[in-house]
Amino acid sequence: MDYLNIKKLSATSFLGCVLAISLLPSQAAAQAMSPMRGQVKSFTEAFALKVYPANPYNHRIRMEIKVYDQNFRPVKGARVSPAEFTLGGRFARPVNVIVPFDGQKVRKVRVCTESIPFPSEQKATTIKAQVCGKFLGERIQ
Amino acid sequence: MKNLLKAIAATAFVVVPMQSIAATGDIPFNGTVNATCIVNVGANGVMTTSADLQTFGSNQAGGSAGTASVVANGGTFNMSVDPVTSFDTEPAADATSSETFTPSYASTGATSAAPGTTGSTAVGAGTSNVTVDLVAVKGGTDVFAAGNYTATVTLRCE
Repeated sequence: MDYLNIKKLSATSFLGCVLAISLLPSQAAAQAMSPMRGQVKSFTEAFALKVYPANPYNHRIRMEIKVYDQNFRPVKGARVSPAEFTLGGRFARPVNVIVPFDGQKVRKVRVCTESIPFPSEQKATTIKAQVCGKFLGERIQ
Repeated sequence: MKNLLKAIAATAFVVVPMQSIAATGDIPFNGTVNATCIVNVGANGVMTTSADLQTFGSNQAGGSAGTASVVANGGTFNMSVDPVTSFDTEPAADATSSETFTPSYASTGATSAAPGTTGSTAVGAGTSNVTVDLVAVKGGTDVFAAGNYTATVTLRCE
């Protein structure tokens, strides 16, 4: 059922999302994630974001992009493409995020870039880096 | 008279502006630097036990904190650590008893945070040198069983 809803959402929101994506800043350098703040207006049932996660290290790492609400609960129905990938050292790549309004007129979300921790040593406390951008989606009716 | 005319002609030639021969143009540059935050994870932390085997943490003798650097170029970013609820891996013998976790951090450089900070701290522009600690404590008469433990602390910049 959720799958069907997502397909419907995808079709109806495509045009609005294309507009929203094209309005976002496109520059990206060796940064963990850019931009980290944004406000998007959408005519549809969802809004789209384009973020540029970056690998600040000199070696490749695996990264995961997740979408959370204000209370750090995963946003149901949010689509991230690609959600998980390997990124070479000092590289950045675009990631598209589509967030459903889910009946709300305004929706605040966090889009987080998470590094997948390096293999742990025994008796080790591993630090997992998480860089989160805060975005506001506004539905125009 | 002839020499005078020659002298005048020579002087006139020298006085002709030379810059009119060269052409120049200004090429404008512009760019935008987005406000952003970078987290570079350094060394992993090492946890060791207390003498009574009830505390297992990176702040114990022989233990060491994990390290990371946080680089921000302005904006209104905050750093924090997520709560930890369990070990990633622990010996089977320890699975029957629980422990209380306290992740914390300290920062020097662009951001000042005292050791043991557990809340959110505003990130200053520049490089912040962050150390992350994790302490697990057993209650009652429980002690940490022998074996290998691993845990993960999430350091967030948002």
